[in-house]
Amino acid sequence: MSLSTMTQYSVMVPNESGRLARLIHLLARDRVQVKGIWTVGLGDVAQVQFLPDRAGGLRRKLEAAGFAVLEGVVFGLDLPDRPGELNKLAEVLALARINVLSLSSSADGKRAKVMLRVDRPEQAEPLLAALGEEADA
Amino acid sequence: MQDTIQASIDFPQENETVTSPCYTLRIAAPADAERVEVSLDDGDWCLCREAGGHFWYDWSNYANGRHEATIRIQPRGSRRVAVETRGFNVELGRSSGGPSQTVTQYSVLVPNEPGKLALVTQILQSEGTRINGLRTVSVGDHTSIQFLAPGAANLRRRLEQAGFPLLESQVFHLELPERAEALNRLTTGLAEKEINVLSLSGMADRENVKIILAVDRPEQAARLFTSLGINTVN
Repeated sequence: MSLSTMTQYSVMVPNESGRLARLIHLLARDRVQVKGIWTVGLGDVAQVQFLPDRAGGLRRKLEAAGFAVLEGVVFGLDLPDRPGELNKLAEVLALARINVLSLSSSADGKRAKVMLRVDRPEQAEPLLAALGEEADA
Repeated sequence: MQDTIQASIDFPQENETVTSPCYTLRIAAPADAERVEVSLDDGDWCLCREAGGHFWYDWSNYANGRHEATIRIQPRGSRRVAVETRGFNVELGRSSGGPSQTVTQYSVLVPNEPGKLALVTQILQSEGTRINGLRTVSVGDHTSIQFLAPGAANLRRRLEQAGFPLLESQVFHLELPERAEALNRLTTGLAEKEINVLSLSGMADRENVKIILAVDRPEQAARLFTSLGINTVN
């Protein structure tokens, strides 16, 4: 299992058709590839969280376009795609009383990629690294 | 309904079309209600079970056509009864999203606390469920765990027996090339057709990005994806 950290950007947009397209168009115009994207509708606004392949100057450009931007650190994990792997991860975090702020995964039948945000990343990092060594053993 | 008693049928919604052979009605009622009962098509009154702050009734063996659900709720310590009726349709064999490209997404609601995700993943593991496209969405003190689990026949019953409220919805599972322009083409196409994105999640996977997408007008979206040559994930 590989463990990495990435910067996740979060922007709020009105929850209307076309608003997401405006953000994605801005990213595409700058040739920014999106490695992960998640939207959450909250009444009349929607939060768009995404992982760009590069960050240079992105925040400034988004803010210049009128988007309020927040940044956060996410862990990226690469796990074997088999039943029980996600449960191991969840149990390790639960035993340490670390709360999952957000988790998303995608699998292709061989490997599963997991993006994870937690309330205590410093405590989580060594646990996730140890989990990775166990998975690779 | 008497306005002093807070009770309603959350699902099915008015004129909703039910397409699956089993359906769980969700009823909002005071947690300390003396009795919460449902009657389908003027049939016998059946007790609903309480889980996760709602009341539920598992319904099956029904036929296509127009149906009516009526609830009656007796609050604790009261002789008065609240009644509400809801009309809806059943069309077995048709995807609720209309197009055949949609798949079922499960959503499980848990308290936003350490260890609650693990309770759900333990059940998934014990069922040997291979899940895909999982994500969590936290709002305040609750978290919705959403995932695709093709072929998980017993999963709904197991999760509900464990006290986890579960909803099903139809979503698109799409595959796009991992290029900035591909996602732009998708979202621009949706915007031009004035199709609103209810939720979207996606992660790059080697050369592709797999997208799970819910929209307000799935029939129109399906036609758009066909015209854009966007593939669904098998």
